[in-house]
Amino acid sequence: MRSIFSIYKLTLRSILREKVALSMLALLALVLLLLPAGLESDGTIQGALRMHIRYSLGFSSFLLAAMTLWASCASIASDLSSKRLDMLLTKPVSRAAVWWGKWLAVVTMMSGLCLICGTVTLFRIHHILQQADLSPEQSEMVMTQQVTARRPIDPLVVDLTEEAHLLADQQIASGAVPEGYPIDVLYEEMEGFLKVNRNAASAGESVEWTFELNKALSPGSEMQVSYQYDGSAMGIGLTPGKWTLGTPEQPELLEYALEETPYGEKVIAITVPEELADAETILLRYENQGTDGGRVFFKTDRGVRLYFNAGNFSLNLFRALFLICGLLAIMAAIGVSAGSVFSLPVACYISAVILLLQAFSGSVEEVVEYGQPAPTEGQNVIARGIETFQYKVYEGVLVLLKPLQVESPLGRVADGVLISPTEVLSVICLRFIPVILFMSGIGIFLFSRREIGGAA
Amino acid sequence: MISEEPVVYTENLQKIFKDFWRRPRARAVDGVSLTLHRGEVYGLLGPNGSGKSTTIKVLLGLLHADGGVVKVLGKPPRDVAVKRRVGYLPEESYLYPYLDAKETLRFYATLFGLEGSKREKRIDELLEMVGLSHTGRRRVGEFSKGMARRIGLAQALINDPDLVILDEPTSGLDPLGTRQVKDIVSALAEKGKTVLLSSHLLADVEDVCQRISILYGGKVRASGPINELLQVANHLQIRLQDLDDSQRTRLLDTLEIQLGQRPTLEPTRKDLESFFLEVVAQARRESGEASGTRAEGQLAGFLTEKAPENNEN
Repeated sequence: MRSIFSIYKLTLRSILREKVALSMLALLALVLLLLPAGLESDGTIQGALRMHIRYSLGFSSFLLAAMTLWASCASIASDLSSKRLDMLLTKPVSRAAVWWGKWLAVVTMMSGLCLICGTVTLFRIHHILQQADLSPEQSEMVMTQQVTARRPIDPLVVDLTEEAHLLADQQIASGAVPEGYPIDVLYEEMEGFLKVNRNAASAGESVEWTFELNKALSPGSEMQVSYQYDGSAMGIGLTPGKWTLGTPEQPELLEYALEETPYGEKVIAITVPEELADAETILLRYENQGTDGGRVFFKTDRGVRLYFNAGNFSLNLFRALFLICGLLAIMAAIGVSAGSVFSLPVACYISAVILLLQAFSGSVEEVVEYGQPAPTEGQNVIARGIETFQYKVYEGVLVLLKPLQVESPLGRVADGVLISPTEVLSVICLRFIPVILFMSGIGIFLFSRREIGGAA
Repeated sequence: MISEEPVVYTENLQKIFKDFWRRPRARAVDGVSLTLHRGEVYGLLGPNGSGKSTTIKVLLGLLHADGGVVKVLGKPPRDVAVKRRVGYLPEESYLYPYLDAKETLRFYATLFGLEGSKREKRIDELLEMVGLSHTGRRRVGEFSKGMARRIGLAQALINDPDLVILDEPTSGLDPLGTRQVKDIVSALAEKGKTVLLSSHLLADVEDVCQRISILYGGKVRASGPINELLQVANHLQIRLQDLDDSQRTRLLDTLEIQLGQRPTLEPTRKDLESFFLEVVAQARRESGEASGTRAEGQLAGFLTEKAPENNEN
């Protein structure tokens, strides 16, 4: 432990002395302080807050990730190239101690910076709220829907597999499916089609969602029904609709008649009535009361949610930052391991590729979720093979990136969605720590086998 | 002071450098066998690329041997217990440029588990010994090559090692520093430490080493006690002081009669190093210290303590 701590202290000093690190620190300060001034929000207070959290703090996090990769790669690689490691490793220091000392220093430095960035953002948000000229209603809305931490409950997922298979079989029987069309692809397409229909209502039709509550509601407490219209509904004008909420026994406990353009996200704030206090299941129904035949679509993924007030915004922000610190710790483990095996440029290149893949992992996930494209007419075997190979590569990349994927912590904070302490703890203990231990195992193993000063 | 206890033992040591595809690129060390005993100063000589540094790096556990046997203090060189008892000065002093001399030594001392006043006392003694006690908060990145060499030497001795490996220890040092390093090496040997010294400077090796090995192309080309290796067969030297001309003539005549051949007489010369040291010592007495390093102090106190009779290998 003593040698780890000595190397840790030395590495901290070393990072602070590097010109690249100082330049990145200056850039970080610029991004944090000046980027919001250069961006235009949608003019609303919600937009301004979202911009600060998602873009300013988000970009700072990206910069921190880049700094982490650089600092971690350089921590061992530059000591190797400058031959300082030649001297260090002749002392009674295990290579594992060198690895852990370097990693710990990078993580401490970057996590510290991350928490500072979060604190600055928090102060800015409070400043914006103080300066904004908000009506009491607007203020209430911001404080209950954004500058808060709401526990979300998603509707039960309806298993559409059987229905999808049935529909697919009908399509094949009707001759609508070309010969040789992959059956898996067809099933996925049918399931997607049913899912869209499951979350849509034509004029005069209704759509219903079921929510299982895992804890009793307090009468008089606040809850919100949040729903997102799908973009495909654009073009439909004002549409009258009726939302009803209740229990299986009393499905129409609460009713809200609204006439609105089915676009974007809307929220209905509700005070929990006595009748819902012991409810274990809540039913939510939307009835399209339009008469012009327009169909209303809700997003299939989290199109409808219930929210319950569950905590403090500042703590929620710091929980998100802890998750980001966990990601930085994984990146530091990748960087230190790469730097102990490869030269600094190669280690930085490898780590940068991983960082970029992580940054765009959402897109990779979308590609994989969308499924392998169906074969086109006249497509030859080689072209199809290449397409299949590409898809498998995407799937493989996604598997590798899985540990680095955390459902947009800053996005959730910006939307006032709770990141629970249990979630933070479980992600850190069950995902981050095992990955870091795994990476350290690989890194230390390769570092131990590496010869030092071989060019003598 | 030399005992038969091997501090360093290699037998048929092999080291082959390979390329990216693991194909042999260069046979850097080829069958080197060395045995170093306690209290011995051993010289490793050879031109550039002869395998000296590679051999040293194998002994330090930085490089893996590709064949043969390597034991340092009776154990494999990568054993952490071995490293606790070894001091190493590389051919360049690779220091952390943003640390000052004290911080540098403190860092290395901590790695050896030295703490508190014992550590600080040892650091002060070593800095005094290498003539850097006055450098204060000056960072080692600003040091001259000679100063960096001195701090490198100090870090190699911070743990009071049983085995000291010095790779080109006098490179970059002025004659005063060179003399001091040689004095330190001799003093260490007297205290029962083993010193392995690699150098291009043959005079340095000749001055302090008892045995040497000369490497070329990764192989040992000559090895043995330095006096035996340098002895010229059937040549003798007689040294006499203060002979006048008539005494010299009589001596030559006598020897000619006795031996049947007339010997040659040559005046004794000082070596340049001794002459230089005399001049500088005189100048110091007259005009005090110059800038840079100061006149070095005595050997650090902890290095002069009596060595235990039986060091565990």
